[in-house]
Formats: sequence, C-alpha cells, structure tokens
Amino acid sequence: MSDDKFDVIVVGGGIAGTVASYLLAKEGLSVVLVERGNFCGSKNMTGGRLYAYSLEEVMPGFANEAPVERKVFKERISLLTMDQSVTLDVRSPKFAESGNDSYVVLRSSFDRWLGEKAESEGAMIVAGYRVDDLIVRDDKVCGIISNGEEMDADVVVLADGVNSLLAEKLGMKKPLRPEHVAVGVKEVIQLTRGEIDERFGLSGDEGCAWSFFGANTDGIQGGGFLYTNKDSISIGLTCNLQKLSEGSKPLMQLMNDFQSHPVVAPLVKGGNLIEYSAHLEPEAGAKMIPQLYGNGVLVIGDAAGLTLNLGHKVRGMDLAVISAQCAAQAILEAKSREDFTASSLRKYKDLLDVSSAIQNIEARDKYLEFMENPLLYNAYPLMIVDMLARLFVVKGGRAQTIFDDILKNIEALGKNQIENDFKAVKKL
Amino acid sequence: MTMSIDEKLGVDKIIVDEENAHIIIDKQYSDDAEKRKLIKICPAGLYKMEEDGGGNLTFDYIGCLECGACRAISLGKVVSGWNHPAGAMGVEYRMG
Repeated sequence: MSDDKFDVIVVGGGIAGTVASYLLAKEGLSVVLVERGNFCGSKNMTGGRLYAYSLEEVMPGFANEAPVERKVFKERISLLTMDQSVTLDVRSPKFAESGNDSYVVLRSSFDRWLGEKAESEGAMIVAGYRVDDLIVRDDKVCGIISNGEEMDADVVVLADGVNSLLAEKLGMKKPLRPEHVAVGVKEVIQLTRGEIDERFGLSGDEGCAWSFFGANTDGIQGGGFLYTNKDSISIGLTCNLQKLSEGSKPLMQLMNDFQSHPVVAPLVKGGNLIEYSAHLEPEAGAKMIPQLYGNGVLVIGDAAGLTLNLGHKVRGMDLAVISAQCAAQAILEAKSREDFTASSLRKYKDLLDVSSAIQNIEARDKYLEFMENPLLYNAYPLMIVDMLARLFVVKGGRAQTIFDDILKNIEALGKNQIENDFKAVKKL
Repeated sequence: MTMSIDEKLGVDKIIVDEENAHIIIDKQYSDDAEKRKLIKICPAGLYKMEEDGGGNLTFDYIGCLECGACRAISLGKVVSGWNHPAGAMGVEYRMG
C-alpha cells in the first residue's frame, strides 16, 4: 500500500467496481481498486446472463474481446409440477441484434478481464486485501483501512456487493432483511460442446437461457435457471430467503430435487460438477436502495441494491454498469470542482435517477409486489400445466371440453382469488 | 445419482483460514425454530443439528461460500458475528 493520496479508491472488483475504475482511470484520475479475493471476480457469481447494452456503451464491441461464453439466441420458460411440465421455446434473430444482445458469462474470468481493462487504463488493482474499515474524519470518508494499513482518497466508491458491511457501518445502508433478498445456488456442470448443442438445439456460439417456475421451489417465491456456457452449463435455483426459512425443505434438497425433475435430469445427465456456488441477490427493488452518496463516498452495484428480478428477466450486471457510469461521471465533475462533499457527489443520484436503471426499477415496484403472490409458485403453475396436459389425453368415455376443465380449475382455486389476481395482472 | 453436499463443496477451491473463523455462532441460543431456519437456508449445509438428539446446533465455517444468508436471517440471534474472510482467504471461484 502507498502513503500517497489517491483520487479514488474503489472497494470491490465486481462489474460495478471494475467498470467505475476503468472509466475513472481512463479520464486520468488516480484509481486504486481493492479486492478481497485474489483477483477481480474470484468472489463473484451470477446465474448468469449479461444484457449487453450498457457495457456496450462503455466498451463498444466488448463481446468480441471479453471472455463471454455464448450469445443467447434461444429463450425458454418452463412451468413444472412434480412430474409434469409445459415449456415455451422462443427463438428469434431479434435476440442477437445489436442493442438487444445478451451473453452468458462466468464471472471469475469475465470480471478478471474487466479488471485488466481497468489496469490497462492505469488503475491499480490491489487484490487479496479486505477493506476492514473506512477512515472517517469530520464526518467525511477519507480513505480505507486494510490489514492495519491506511490509504487516503478524495472519494471511496463502495462496490463491495450485496453484503456491503462498509455501507452498513456508515449507516448508509440498513442490514439486509431476509424478505428483501433471494439466496441463489448454482452448479457449473461440464459437458462437451457437442452434448450441449444437441441437448439444447444450438450451434456455434449460440446459447440458451432457460427459467423454471413451480414445483422446483416447492411453492417458494423464486425459480430455477439454466444457462449454456461454451462447454458447461450453469444451473441453479433462487429462493426468497424469508420464504425459504419458513418452508419445509432445505435449499440443498430443493436443488437436488430440481436436477432430478424429468425435464431437467436429461439435460445434466453424465455431466461433471466443476463448481458449486452461492450468493445473495437483492430483489426488493426501489425500497431497498440505500443512501447512495455521502461526504467522500458513493455506493454502487449490488451494494446499492440495483437489481431487477422479473422471473424471466434477471438483471443486475447491466444495472451495475449503469451505476458505475453515473458514479464515474459524478466523481469527474466533483474532481473538476475539487469538491467531494455530499452535496457535490449528489450528482451521482441525480444521474442515476434519470437513468434507465432506476426508472426500470421504480416502474417495476408493482410487479415485484405481484411476484410475492404465493399462488404464482404453486397453484397457478399446477393449474396451467394440468390443463395443458389434459388437452392431449385421449381415453374412453365421453370427452370433457377444455371449458369444463377450466371451470373445474377455477372452482378449485376460488373464483374471487383468480379475479383479484387477474385484475392485478392488468394493472402491471 | 445425487452428490452429497460435501462432495459438491469438494470440487470448489477454498483457501481455509485456520486461524480465524469469520462467522461466530452462539451455541447457547435456544430457539429451535431459529436453528431450523439456518439449517434450511445455508447452501453449504454448514449448520447441522447434533446427532445426539440434544438439539444442539453445530456449525463449521470451513466450506462457507460467503453468501451471507445466515447473516441476513439470524444476525444477533444464532449468528453472533459475521465478517468476510480475511483478504485472500475463503472461496475462490474459478467459474463464478
């Protein structure tokens, strides 16, 4: 570590931290990124798919150079009961169009690459150091303390992830509430390229993103996911933490059951597990966004709760990029004024507020409330799958019409309930 | 064929800090419902009920994936201390 004072210290080498460092270093500021793992990306995981639009703005053409796995060409959604399923398979050239494109990534290599990009612009990366505390003088954050050593900076950017103990310590962020986060587990399972192409109907660098709802979370708010990497698949589950803690099955068992489901088992068959990982995911939208700026400090990325999980679309990394952009711009302007007080750094929040990141998060608050409806995770998938399954059954006796079937299901669930939920859907 | 959690964790690269436990639990904490929550939510299966039937919770920080679920559920209850592992220690994802 150095005795010199830096313009900016960034805590955490994830998407937000590396992109902020890259942008600031590129403009000539002295930037140190401190990462507690042995390299940027070593503590990070995603489901995961990166929607490219925002990183594309920062680093045009990044996907040609970065270690991305596959470009998503195919989207699938499945509803599962214990032994039945309905799957929607959407394939469209639209997914590949510039601006709409998305990529399956593995964070260990992807974030490491982003860290190297920041380094190539002159940022210094100090890996293997945990930031234990922040230096606060006269109510202003003035630097960091790691391993007993101090390092000073005009601005400290907290990009230390969903468990940002530092933002909590400063009182900017409240401790995480279990109902506001999901816990995700993932297995990376190695298969050959040929097996993946064949099992998912892909070729070349085409990838598939697949989400699963219903029995796989045992009625708990959450879902399963599967993404194809080059020569492995990422498969996992996310469950609302509060609901999981009140449920009947341990997460580990849900994960095993999910992989034994008749739809999923053939997809993972014969593959070798090469990594097992877990992470929390903020999922409460606008209501869990902390105080974003203070004297000499900004909070970005997951630490700022900037994610958006709509079930079929799970976003976080793209929003991390946007928050890094807004933070970098605010810091550059603050630097030009040599004023790093909260009122100067407030620009970060102003920029974020008018960005698509916050606007999308705020617009989705009603949707997120709707997603808390427990029927979405048991009764409705069961009803839909069951009705569609019966559509294809031929047996002796007088055939029932689909209408009879629908009526029966509606009666079973309660007409009022369905009416209310239908009204809620219309309001979204 | 389902792998056990120990087999799954066995494929991960984890640099164990033998000197410092980054999570401390209160073994005296007596609320069984709270203990059961931790058993359900820990993705690494590190919270277990002792097999002697005495209802005591055991916990081992080795194998922790640092997700923070136990902290969000039970800080100030069963979980009396939670920090990230020291720099360069703990899980090191090679895929992520």
